[in-house]
Amino acid sequence: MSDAYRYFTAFSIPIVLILVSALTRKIVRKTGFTWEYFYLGVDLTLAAFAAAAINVADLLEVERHAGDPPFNDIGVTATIYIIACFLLFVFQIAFHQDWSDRPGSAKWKQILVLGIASNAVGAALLGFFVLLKLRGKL
Amino acid sequence: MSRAVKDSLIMATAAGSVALLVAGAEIGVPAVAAAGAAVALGAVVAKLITIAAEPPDANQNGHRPKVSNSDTKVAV
Repeated sequence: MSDAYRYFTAFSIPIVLILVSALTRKIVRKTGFTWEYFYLGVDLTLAAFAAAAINVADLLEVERHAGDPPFNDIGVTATIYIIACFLLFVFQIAFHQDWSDRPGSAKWKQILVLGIASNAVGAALLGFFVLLKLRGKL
Repeated sequence: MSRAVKDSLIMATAAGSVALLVAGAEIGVPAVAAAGAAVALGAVVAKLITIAAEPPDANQNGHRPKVSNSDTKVAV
């Protein structure tokens, strides 16, 4: 698999996830599109956390069958990835709690923080996790 | 420093922690990834401190709006 194809595969997953989640929210709430539907940083970070946790369970199972010691460098890095995902999940919750309905705040600031910056952190966590997994680094 | 600037710096720190985490995994050095996790912890603590330090009804600049006496009088 070429590197460009790996990048495309890895980062199309969070982008498609954002579009599908926004569309789902619109259908469920029966209202027109609003920017709030695209504030998905928490969801993306949680998805990365879940994927990283399943990966560690998978690594432990493979190494148990192979007879290798349970924690080599990849196992340690994968565990650190889970911890960092959880910390950034708490961080995203704090940001959303602070900015989602702040009185007197300009709408464009909310879009910048929750719609772009927060989504970028979540999409980077999920996208790079998939990329590293495809390259065999995690 | 306004809240928006503080939050931008904290968000940039979180982005830096992701970069360190990915770099650590890419080069196969767990210590670099651990440094990324430590930076993420720092960003969480910084964000929680800014939330705790803000008055409950503060505006976007972190200031509590002034209430005059005329606002608190009750018409009878």
